[in-house]
Amino acid sequence: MTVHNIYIFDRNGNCLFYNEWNRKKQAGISKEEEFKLMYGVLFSIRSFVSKMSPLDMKDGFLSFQTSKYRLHYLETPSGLKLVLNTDLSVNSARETLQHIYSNVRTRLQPRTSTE
Amino acid sequence: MAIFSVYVVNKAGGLIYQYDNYVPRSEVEKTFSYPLDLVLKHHDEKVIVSFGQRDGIKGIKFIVLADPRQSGIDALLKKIYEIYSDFALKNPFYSLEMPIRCELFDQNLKSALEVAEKAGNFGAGS
Repeated sequence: MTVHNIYIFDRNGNCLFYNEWNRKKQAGISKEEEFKLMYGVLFSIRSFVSKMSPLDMKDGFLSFQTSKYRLHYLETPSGLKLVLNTDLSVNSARETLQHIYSNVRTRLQPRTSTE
Repeated sequence: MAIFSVYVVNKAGGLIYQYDNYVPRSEVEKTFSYPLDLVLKHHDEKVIVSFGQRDGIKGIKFIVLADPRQSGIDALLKKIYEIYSDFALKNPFYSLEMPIRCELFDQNLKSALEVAEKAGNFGAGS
């Protein structure tokens, strides 16, 4: 079970936090561009998933996978977006992300005025 | 229905085949136990023969929308690709990248979907 990296975005698209543990390949673009790309991908996929859904959606976009990694996504009611990239052995990191969120929030709150 | 839709997208991004298999419900009881979310699988196909490129059959994308409880979607995607390549190869009237309008493709696709639904919808697979 490998966790590659994590991104946390606020509701405006700014990357509040990024950390990598086990990344074998870099993107080839600057970090700033990579964050914008990641946010753009999330935005597009969420929109796509909601449009393509033949049923009413409960949670919306949860994760996607490639042949090499799985990207897990959690969006909080305040618009905070957490992204975790793991290997394929992790089926759902939703609880993990929720746990991170409940810990991160208490630390970020004094610094940001967004509730 | 556990498999909702099948789409085939060509290299340029145009939709060349669509099959929908769900009843759009306008009034929905939220208390029903609906599938939570959709598993969207995206399969990007490239076929390269060792001597070179084969008729430019590459960049074809097969998209299946299914219930997350449905298993065997990878196998289904492969099957759809097989049906597509059988059809594209054998039908002299079909030109690549064009909308797919062939009965054989439809029939085979529907039976493959039925097989997949029956075999895979027990959660863990039978």
